[in-house]
Amino acid sequence: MMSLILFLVASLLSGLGLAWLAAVNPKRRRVYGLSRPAPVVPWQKWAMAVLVLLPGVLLVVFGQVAGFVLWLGAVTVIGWMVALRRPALTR
Amino acid sequence: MIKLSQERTRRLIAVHGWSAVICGLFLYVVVLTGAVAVLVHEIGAWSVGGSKVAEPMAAPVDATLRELIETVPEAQREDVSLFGNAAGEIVAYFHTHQQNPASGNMEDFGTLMDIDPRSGEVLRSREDYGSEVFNAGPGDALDRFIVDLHVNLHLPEPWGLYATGILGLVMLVAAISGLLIHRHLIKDAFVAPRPTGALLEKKDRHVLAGTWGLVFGFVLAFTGSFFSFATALGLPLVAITAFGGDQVAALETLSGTPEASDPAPVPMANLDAIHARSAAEAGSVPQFTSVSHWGRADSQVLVFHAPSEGELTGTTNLFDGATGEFLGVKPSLGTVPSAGTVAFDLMGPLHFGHFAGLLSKIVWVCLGLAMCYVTITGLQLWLQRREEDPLWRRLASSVEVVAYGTPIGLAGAAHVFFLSYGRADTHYWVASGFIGFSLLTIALGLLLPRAALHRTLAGFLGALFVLLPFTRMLLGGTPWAEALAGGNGVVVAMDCVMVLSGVICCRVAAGLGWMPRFAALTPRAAT
Amino acid sequence: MSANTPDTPAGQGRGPLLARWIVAGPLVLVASILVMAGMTAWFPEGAAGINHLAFPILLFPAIWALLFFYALLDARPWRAGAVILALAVANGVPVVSAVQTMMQGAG
Repeated sequence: MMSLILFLVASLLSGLGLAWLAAVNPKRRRVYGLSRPAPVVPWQKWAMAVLVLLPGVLLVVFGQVAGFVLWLGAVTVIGWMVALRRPALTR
Repeated sequence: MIKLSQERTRRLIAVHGWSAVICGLFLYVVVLTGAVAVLVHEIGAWSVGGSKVAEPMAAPVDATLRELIETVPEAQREDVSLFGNAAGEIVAYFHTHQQNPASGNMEDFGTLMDIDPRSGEVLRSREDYGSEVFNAGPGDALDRFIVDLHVNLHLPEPWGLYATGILGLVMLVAAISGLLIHRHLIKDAFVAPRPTGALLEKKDRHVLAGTWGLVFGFVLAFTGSFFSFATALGLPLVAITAFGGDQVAALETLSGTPEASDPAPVPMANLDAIHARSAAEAGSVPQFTSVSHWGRADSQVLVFHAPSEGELTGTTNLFDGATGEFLGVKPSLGTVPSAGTVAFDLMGPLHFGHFAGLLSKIVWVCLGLAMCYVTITGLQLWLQRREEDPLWRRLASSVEVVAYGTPIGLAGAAHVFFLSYGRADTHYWVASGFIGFSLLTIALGLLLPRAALHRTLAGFLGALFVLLPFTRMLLGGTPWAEALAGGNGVVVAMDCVMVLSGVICCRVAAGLGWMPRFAALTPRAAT
Repeated sequence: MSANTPDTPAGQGRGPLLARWIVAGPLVLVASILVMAGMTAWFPEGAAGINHLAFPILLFPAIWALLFFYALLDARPWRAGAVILALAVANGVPVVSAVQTMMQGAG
């Protein structure tokens, strides 16, 4: 049960990080003719990287090998789903 | 990302495209059935209306086995394998080793019995070689058909394994060449398909799914091609160079089987006590038990366990068969831990995704379906670029037919399974059902205009999916209330998965998105 | 990945294309099978005495892919062919001698 919760929390955090990355991704915004976002400041870049990657690192650190592999699989599916959805603002 | 000269990139694109055009549709069939086969145990349990008991291998079995082994021919009392099937029965295989005249290989030969774990009654019994005898019961037809289609495309050995092994290599090539061709992997990782033009949108869809699926595409292709070639090519060759061609000796060295040393007859230790001790050591119910040299002084019992929580690989406990003494954890290869064992142990969980129960299986199904999506969108992209050419245009409908025909064949086979279960030879009818529904799809592909094909097939598939639970229950399958009362939530869950898949297909057929757009509810920001 | 080596004009025309087909196709396949079989002779056995058996079987897809992409990406297909052939011959020696011993044993 503990493994399940850790995995779900890790995937959720990474998913949030991916959603953030997608939201401010310059090419994605340009392609859809969205407004240019405020330029990403360094701390935000760090925060995004940490949000996406740290959960996986922590799973390994705490010996959750299965959780890590599962997280890796889940992140690739979540990232795809996040990127596949068109921004809601498109005409 | 990786800068290659134009000439090299051109070659990579040619290999990426042509290998897909030649093998892509077969690859799709193998990958799709693989994604479905991740849930093989659940499909098996669903098809027979659930498991008789939750954990057949937790039931006492020692007394039953002692009684049953007296009923098989003396030569077959050498080894015993024991496991629980999807219907919740104990499967016991009393066997010896002899050459199979059909294949020329040394194989297990003996009597296999399906046993009711509650009463010890033998439900079915059959005598055959190891390559034929497993999953041959009437309730195994559907799951076995799917697995065989994935593993060997129903081709004879070893050609089927060679074929799927080569398809694995093709997928490996597609993943690596895709990575090398695509120059803006990171930059484009969040570019949703552009609605500007059909070609660009197809390209975006393919590239996006390929980008995110790259790592696991590689992993699944590598492990899959390993599984195909390991027994069909690797083991025989390694046996030639290291063991003078003796495959049995090679296998025994690899598996770390000790040489027979003491044939003196000795009564077997109590298997229930061994199971109990092993369960206490591993923290889970045994999954598979293998007794070698039953009733001899040198008898050994291996008890296999699924991975415990948080682990990727399972454990195997070794017991002395004569005394019942726990001899320790046995590495899957050799007798002491080694790098080879670690690498080998990773292959299974990485390919099958069964290391964390239903959760990991669901993730693996998604990964498999993502691979299917990459394959089909890639083929569509190739064909759309050559739309002017009548020959390629004809191939475009065949992509549609195979993309929908494979799941239509599988769903149709499931319907036919329920029709024949308990009434006729399920193995024959499942295969016939698959072929019949595939031919029907091909006929639709030939008759219907291309514009109408996509939606018609999606609707057909959706209808087959939605109707599956009704077919199952109308033809005597376990109803939901009974399944839930018997702890078989899996039956209900699978019914729901079928209906949900059907609804998604029907939405596609109706020209809607595959799921409702929740994002549309958010207020529009000023642009 | 060797990034900036320019391709020679030798990479054009029918001859080199055919050579690349032969090298990247049958030659790579035969070579990777021989490397797998021959590896058992030189790969370290490890503590359990199984690494020299397990790793060749485990690594076969990787061996094939490595040789295939080398044959595909090398500017001169014949040079790649020569390297792969040398690898195949070197690893084929223990295989041939094992087969010979087997034949003698059988005969």
